Amino acid sequence: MAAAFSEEGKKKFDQEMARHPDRQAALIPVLHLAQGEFGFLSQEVMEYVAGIMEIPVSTVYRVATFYTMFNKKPVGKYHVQVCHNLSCSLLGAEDVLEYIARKLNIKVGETTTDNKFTLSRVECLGSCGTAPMMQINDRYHEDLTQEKIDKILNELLTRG
Amino acid sequence: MPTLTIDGQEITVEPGTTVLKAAQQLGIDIPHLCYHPYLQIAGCCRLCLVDIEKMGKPQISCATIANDGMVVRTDSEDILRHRKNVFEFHVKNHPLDCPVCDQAGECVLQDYYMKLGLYQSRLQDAKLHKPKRVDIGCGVIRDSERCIQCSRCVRFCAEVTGTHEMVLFNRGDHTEIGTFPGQNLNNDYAQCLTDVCPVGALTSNDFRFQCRVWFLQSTPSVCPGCSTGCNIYIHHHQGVAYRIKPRVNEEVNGPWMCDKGRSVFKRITNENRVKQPLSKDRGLQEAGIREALSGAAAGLKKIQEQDGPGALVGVGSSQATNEENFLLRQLIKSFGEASHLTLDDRNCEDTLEDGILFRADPNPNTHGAKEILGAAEGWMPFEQFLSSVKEKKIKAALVLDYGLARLSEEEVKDLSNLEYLVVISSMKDTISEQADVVMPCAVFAEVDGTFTSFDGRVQPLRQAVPTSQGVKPGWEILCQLADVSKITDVRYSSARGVFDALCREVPFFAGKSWNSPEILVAGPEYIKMGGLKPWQTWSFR
Amino acid sequence: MEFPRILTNNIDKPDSHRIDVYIKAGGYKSLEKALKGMSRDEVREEVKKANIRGRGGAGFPAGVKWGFIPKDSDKPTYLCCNADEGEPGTFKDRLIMEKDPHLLLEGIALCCYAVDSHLAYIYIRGEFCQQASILEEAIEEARAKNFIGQKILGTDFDLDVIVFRGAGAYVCGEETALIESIEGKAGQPRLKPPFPAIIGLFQGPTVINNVETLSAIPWIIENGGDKYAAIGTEKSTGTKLFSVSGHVNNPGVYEIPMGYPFDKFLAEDLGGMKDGKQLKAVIPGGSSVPVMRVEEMENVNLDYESIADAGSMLGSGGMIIINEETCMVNALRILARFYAHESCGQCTPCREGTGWIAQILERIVGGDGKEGDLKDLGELADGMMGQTVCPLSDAAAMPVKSFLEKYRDEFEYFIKNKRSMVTG
Repeated sequence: MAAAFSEEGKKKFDQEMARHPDRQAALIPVLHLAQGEFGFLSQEVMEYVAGIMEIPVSTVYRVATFYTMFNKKPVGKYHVQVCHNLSCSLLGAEDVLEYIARKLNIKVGETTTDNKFTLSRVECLGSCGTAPMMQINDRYHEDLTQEKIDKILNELLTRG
Repeated sequence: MPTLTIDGQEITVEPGTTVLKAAQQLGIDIPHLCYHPYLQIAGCCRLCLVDIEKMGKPQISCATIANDGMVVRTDSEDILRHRKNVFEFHVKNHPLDCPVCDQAGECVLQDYYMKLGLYQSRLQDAKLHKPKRVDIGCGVIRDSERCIQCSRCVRFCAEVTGTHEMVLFNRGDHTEIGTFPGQNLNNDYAQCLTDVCPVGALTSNDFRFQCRVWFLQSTPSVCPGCSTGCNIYIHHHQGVAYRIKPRVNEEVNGPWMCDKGRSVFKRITNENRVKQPLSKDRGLQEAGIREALSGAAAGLKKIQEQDGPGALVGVGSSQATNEENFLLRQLIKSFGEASHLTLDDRNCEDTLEDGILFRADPNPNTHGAKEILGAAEGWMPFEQFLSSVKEKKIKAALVLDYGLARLSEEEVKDLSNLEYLVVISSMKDTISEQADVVMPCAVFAEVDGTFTSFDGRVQPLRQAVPTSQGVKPGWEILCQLADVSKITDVRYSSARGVFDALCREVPFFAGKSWNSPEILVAGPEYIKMGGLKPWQTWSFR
Repeated sequence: MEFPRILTNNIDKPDSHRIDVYIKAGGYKSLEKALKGMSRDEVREEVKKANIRGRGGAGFPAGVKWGFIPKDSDKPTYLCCNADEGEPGTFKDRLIMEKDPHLLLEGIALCCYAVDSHLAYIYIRGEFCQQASILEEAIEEARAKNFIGQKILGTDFDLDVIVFRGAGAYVCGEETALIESIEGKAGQPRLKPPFPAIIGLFQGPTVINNVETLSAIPWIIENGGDKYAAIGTEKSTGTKLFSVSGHVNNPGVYEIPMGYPFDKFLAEDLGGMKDGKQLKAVIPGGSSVPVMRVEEMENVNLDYESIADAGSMLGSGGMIIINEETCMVNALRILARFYAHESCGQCTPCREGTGWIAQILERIVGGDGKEGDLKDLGELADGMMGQTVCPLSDAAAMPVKSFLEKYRDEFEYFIKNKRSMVTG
């Protein structure tokens, strides 16, 4: 099936295209939108975006591969991203990673077999004062402790 | 106009000139990798750093505009150290597999490696691995490990062809060049990427591992692929042509040429080449040169005597050189004033086909052939020639190489109306099949001569490779035919002699001469634009 | 030490992000004052007088920057608010965007008025989804009250503000990379000149200011540049946000006047070291600045000049406090990994240098350090300094040089014994 925005997505796309003084300026917002709709930026999605924005697909490819928030491969329903930069590491980021990996029974960088969780290590998320921390999808979870991690993950596990 | 000092030498340059270009004007070569004179400035290789007085830190000379009073040093101790540092980063992940790399000998990185004297790498860790030997279409092979991310290829596809296939993807030291997955190069100039790439990251499938470049010799010539007349070099070794590279001519092709043009050297080894004269007396089988020539002379003479010179026609060719067309004219006219000359100039409009270089007229010399034949007495428009053949008013024809190559099937059939047909041809085709005599002739890389491009520019071809035995340049065949026919005023010992006569007799060529600067537009050797000419600076022998 | 709270006056109030709370506290008064009673030149003049230096890290005076904008350009002028807070240790702008977005919006409106711009972008790092939503809501609130939009407050001034989310690239905090990113390209810094003040976003003249810088403008217009300049030190004026992380009892964001003593800051505001451990090192201005040994921080005041005199930089004010139990080899490895990950890949020294340094440090920490490693690290870092389009290369090299210089014994120990001198 060829990629195509939902009606709602198409509306947002049109808004974004009309918003900026230059058409290509809509590219990053549109890729965010596409990732929201399709989960990740497959080749097909990149070609679709290039087509509707009327820009070379190589331009889309360039941008999609430059920015780390754009997933070029599928990720789980919940993308658990643990900051491992200095402030978080000083306060136990590696332990957090290890704990979550053990709890989800996957290695860092892997996705659970039910495609629910992907665990990644990421660079500074600008939350150093509340270290250690992680981001799950759009949300920040800060001042992490084992109890807190248990609570967050258990809730997501039961939520389905 | 700003005057600046570079390494103690003063120079005044046009406003807007970069320091790098100003230095080049002084003969100072500042090492550079990403800079390419025909592409926009990227400023990313950081190799062309220079010291400029009153500027705090080293500046890249490719992007710094020369200002009045600037004092530049390209060889200070500081700069040499910086250059060495930057260079070390360039080769950090580069494989340094020169002995097995086909770019060796014309690799800018390799040359700098030798120059900058970095023989021992301090790298203790593994080099990054990236895809190697990937066919990315249009005969271009990509090796991402060798890529130094200069972005010339990306800029070429964006700025010259506008096709945007090449892209840098990923980030940091994982950055790679390539095309979008599943999409290959798709433009008619893709081989230029192998020219702009300063290293062995993009190489030509046709040329890879055919010949080490330091063995190659280089002969200037003109591309016979269309009426633009792109200036080229033919690269050859021991009589074998290996590839064609564009030769810079600002007014014609800049540093580029199209892929079609680049593949014309394959004509030399085409399996359909006529290698020996063919004669119908032998059932269109191979004949000796003397025998074939005598046959042809006798055949033409017979028609002349039987039906008068008006039954004779010389068919010129816009694929043949000016000299060949001129000799055809001389020879035919010596059979008598009533003889005819014609040229297939149908559908030869001068329109630029792709907006870059390729023109609709696939012939290199339509303009010249028209000037020579069209101005002659007895000129016969081509349609009239075809109807005259049909009506059997024309009985015999002498045809230059490719002179009738664009006839329709129907028109070819009509040729059987001719009583005698002599064809000077490099390839076997439906025309040569009908001929009474076929004289094998040389192709562009095997001859001296000139082409006249669509805009009337007379440009030189020089013989790069020898012909095989039995095959002769068209002008020589025509001279021999004249000799056998006892025609005394068509006697030349070189293409140059023919050209001089042509200049005397054809008004369009008046005032031109074989060695005039206008003729010898020998642009700089276009190899990677690194400022180096490998087989001049390298001596492995 | 008495000082007015310029940036954090509202943040403790309930619903501080709402426009009503902001207006009640006197918000948008400065905009009205400027639009109705001050010329563009006068606004610029006040900011110049305030001598506020860019809070993003480079410390370039904002008033001077605004002065570079040509008045006769045939292209529209743009403002880019740099909210791409990504330097490890820095999380100060986030506080303003979350708690007092209208303060930022008012600052943006004032700046746009001063440089005659009618479109402002807030380039916010992509991960700050919540903060982006808060800003978008705030813009709608402000639009409803005509602080943003057409004919603002009955004057001829029009302004639109767009929140633009990045997508995960630290380098986009560099001005021209940020511009490239908005233009829909990879965030690779541009060659300068031309500077963005002349040719910037969409080829128009462009001002780029940090969130914190812009958020100080309303106070400056309300109270006058002189009054602002009276706070802090002579050359480092005003108050500054410090975001403090690491081994302290009270990490977080603090507004303090420039010139505030570090010792007092650590002991009183930050509540001292966590778990009573000893202080070992301070990274005073974000991960890129040279690390400071404990004794180097003694009696140092927190302003641009004092920190520079002491041997480091104020940078973004992202302060990382490191205790005695920290292995500095591992700490540097973490920073090196970050810069290798974030190098855009454009300039060769940075692209290859960051990766190479990270490789060497990974190897040392992995127990496979070699004798020449420290020499190589130092020389590679030297080779990366001052050679590239943007300062990321320098930012990656500076920590390497300072860590090696100041904690050399730990590195030597690690290479020799294949384990950390501190953590074993």
